[in-house]
Amino acid sequence: MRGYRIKREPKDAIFIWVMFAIFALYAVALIYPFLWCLLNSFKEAEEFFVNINGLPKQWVFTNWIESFQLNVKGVTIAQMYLNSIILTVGCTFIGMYSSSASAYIMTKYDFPCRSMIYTVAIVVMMIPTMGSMAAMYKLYNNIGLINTYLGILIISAGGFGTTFLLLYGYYKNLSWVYAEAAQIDGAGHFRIYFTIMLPMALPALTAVGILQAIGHWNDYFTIYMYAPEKVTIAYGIQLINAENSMDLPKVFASMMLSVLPVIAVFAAFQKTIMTNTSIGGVKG
Amino acid sequence: MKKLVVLILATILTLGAAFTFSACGKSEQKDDPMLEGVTFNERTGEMYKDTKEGKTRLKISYSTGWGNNWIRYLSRDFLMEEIGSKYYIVLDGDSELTSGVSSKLEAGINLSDIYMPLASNWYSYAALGYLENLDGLYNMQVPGEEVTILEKIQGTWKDYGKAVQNGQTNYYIFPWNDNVTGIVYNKTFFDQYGWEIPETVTELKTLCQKIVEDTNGKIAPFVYPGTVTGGYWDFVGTNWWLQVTGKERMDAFMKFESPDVFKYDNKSDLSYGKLVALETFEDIIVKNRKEFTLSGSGSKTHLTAQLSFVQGQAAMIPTGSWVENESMKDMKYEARMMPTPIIEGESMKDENGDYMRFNYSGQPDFMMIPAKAPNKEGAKLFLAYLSKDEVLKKYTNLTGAARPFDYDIDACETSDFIKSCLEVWSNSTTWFESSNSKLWTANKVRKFNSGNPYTQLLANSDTMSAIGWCANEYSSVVKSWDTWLEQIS
Amino acid sequence: MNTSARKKRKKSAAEIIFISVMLSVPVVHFCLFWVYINADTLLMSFQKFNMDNATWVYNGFGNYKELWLELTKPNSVLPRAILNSFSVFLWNDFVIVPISVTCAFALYKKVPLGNVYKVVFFLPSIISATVLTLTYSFMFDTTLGSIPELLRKIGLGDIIPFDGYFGDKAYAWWMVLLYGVWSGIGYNIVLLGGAMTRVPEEITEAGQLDGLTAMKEFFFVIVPLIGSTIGTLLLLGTTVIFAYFLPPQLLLGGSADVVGGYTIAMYIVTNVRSAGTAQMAQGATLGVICALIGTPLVFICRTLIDKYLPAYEY
Repeated sequence: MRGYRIKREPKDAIFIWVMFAIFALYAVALIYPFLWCLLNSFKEAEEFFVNINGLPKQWVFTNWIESFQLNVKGVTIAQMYLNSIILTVGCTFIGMYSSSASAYIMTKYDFPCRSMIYTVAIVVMMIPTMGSMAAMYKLYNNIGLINTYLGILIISAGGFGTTFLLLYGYYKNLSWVYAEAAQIDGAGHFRIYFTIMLPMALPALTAVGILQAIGHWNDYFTIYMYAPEKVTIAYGIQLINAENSMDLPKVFASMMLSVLPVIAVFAAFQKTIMTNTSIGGVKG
Repeated sequence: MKKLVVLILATILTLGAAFTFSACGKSEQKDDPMLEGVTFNERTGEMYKDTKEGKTRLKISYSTGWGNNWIRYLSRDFLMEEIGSKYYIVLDGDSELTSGVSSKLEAGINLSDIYMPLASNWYSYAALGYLENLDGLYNMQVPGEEVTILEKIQGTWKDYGKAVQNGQTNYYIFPWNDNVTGIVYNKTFFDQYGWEIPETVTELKTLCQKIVEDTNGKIAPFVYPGTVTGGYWDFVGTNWWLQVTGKERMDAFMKFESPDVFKYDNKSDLSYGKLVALETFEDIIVKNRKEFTLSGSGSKTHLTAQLSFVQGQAAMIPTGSWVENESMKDMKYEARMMPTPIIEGESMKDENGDYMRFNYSGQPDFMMIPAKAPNKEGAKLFLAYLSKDEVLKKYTNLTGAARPFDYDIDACETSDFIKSCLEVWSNSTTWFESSNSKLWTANKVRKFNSGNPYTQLLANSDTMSAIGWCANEYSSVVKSWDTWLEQIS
Repeated sequence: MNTSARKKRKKSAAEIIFISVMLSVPVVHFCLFWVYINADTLLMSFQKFNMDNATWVYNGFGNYKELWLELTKPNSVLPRAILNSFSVFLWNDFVIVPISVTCAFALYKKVPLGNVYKVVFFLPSIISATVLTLTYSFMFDTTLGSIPELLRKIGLGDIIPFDGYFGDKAYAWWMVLLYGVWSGIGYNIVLLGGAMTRVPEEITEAGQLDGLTAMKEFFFVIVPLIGSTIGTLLLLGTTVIFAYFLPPQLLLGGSADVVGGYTIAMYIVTNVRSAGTAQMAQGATLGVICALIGTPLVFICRTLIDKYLPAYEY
């Protein structure tokens, strides 16, 4: 760890401050709509229709109360949060495991059809399919996976989507030297992967994992189709949206239920998330 | 920073817990007088009279666009009568039903007995054998009345529910709503400025000019949702087309027997009325877009267009009777629906010499029974029950919407706005697109086949005319006709 | 730091087992959830659906012919849809990704309030697209929105188009592209930031001691070292060509075709998926054509990326 500070060049300082100004404008452009939604969530629909951009003349909490009291098929808001957490954490973990495994193998090992698999992985993401959801629904029903956590977790175990592509890029940068050093010490392939390469890729895994987790947290359609009894926050909010599409204050209040916890978690831990964690490996 | 964030999280969770626990115990039946006599569990959706032991389940999945109360109260009434005594009902309100039902039908498992989705393409469900043949239901007598259901049904719905399956044409879907569409106007402004409801399109144009003059341009004559297909102008345009062409010839157009149905330049052509409607639209709206429509209408969604109307930025809006439920409940102005103005010299008259009035309701919402439903008999009895006079009136009272049956709509208790819509409905023949042509059911041919004419004319006013659009459509249809026929043969 | 030279390793049984075990779940999952579910797509492109007896019958190249007619008919939406779809790819690769890399670098260089900005930039990633597009379109609404109101207050009301930003052909598609920048940068910054944290500090410090400026560090150190991550984001741009549906649908709605905002994915969803079983054949046909166009495109992109952004191992 260095104990000195390298002085910035004047040009660099200009660059930093110009970017700061641009960031400030961009941040305003992002915060304003978010605040707009938040402020409007404290209005009644009738006030919203005549006062769209101003502060609430009368602050009401009914929309928030109704959102917290949401009850879908007997599932309370607390249970919805629990379902969301279980499925988000589980699906992210499984998805990351599967994608990391395939990305690691594809970048570090040579085998027949390696290049073809990579191309197919990208091409299938491009192709609009006419695939039958009913086929999967029937399959799931026949093997008893409808309305189960396991069914949803299995769906997320795919190893060849966007996550795979992103991790592929990261693993390409990861030097094989660490693995070679470990091999000299007698480590096998599994040990090298789990104890050396995975920890080395932690920043990438964390960054990609966050984005995956957000996707799972907001996914309502998978739950709707394959596990409608395991109501999540996303599904509950979609219900509010669909039934109150013109009552925007209510829609905004329900949206906050989903968004605020995520922002809070990200804000609290973003330093840890973003910091380089070079643990293990051959350094030191 | 971390402490602050954790504090915020803790506050949210505490509030959440407080509100959640305060809601505990509310999921059982609330004290709703309209549900007296039955037990209703909001959690499970189960409703029964006395007990559900020994009774057959009747599960109803419905789109929640029209709310929950109407189906709850009508289900309660069904169970209270002899006709429903053998059943208990499970109500499943599903906001995603319209998009999700095809997969459920295809899978053929865990099916409800009745599905009530919003307007969508159902013909392939029938062709694939997913739907129950409802001929028996249509020929059933309305419980307690002297007529059959088919005799009681009005307008296009008499034939609309038919489809072909294995070479046989049968009824496969059941009517739900008749929408009322046209021009909704701000009655408060009209009274304040002394503006008259226009009878003819010439009067409508004059009215628009008057609105601009009287308000110094502060209130636009029209606002419309430009990002909705056609900007909702088709509600007015197809009314005009019907006025010129008449119902029988519109039905003939919808048979799509040859590309010549798209010919437009002679009065005897079936698409002549389309040309007249588009030219009228062009003359009033397109050529006067900047004076007669609210600035930014081209970018507005149906929500923001309604917001602008509710805020009094415009005096009129093309829309439907649902607008009250969506955004007008707390509007500070009064609103009404006007009959669509007639086109002088073109609109047809009936044998009494009165102009023929139409209500173009758009593709309808509907009800269906899956072929593999566990309780088809109960489902049919329920749908038959919904066709009774008092049940129809109660439905209209609860939703503000009419159903395509012959019943005393004037006796319904609704708001003044809905009354004006129902007045338009009862003085009109309701029509919507319906065809048994294979080209139609296979989605090869549509009512408009060269993009949407209203938005095209508005967006290309310098380069496109109504007659030019019709010419493009005709030539495009002629070119594609043989290929389409090959595809469906 | 090593270069990207791959060392050939003799395969052992242990290696073969390792590869097989690691790839087993992804491959089985792919076969079950993609191949099995979509097996009919290729076949369907040569079939048509008979509505009378609900069977699929052989149709030769009829679907392809119909698609060609659809493409070449007067007022066809497809030519513009194709153009727009490819423009999204180019916009992503030549505007959004470069902006994202620059922003990620500024954050990496510890711009003041960087931690706050990271959280704020992340907001669009966690808010649903429906709400995001709703607030975006509200902001720009001519009579209700705050941006036109601001423009009027500062005397620039004349530049507001009469039909609004989403209803005017000159602006509509640009608004969609702007939305892509506004909502998409945060996602990329998170990924690129993660990649930049792996860059060894010793390299950048040594460079700074030798007078390396931020610009030179950016172009000669950071970009090459995170090249594979940048390359992945560029390659991801190809996947949106045939899948870019939600933003134009939510922002432009049913007028997308008229204001020049239509995309291939919108065509598929509005004309095929919602139109019932009979039209699925046309969707399948489009899917096959997308695959035929997409495959060489991916190859070309990959080759160019590997050439100009080689992966360095460190």
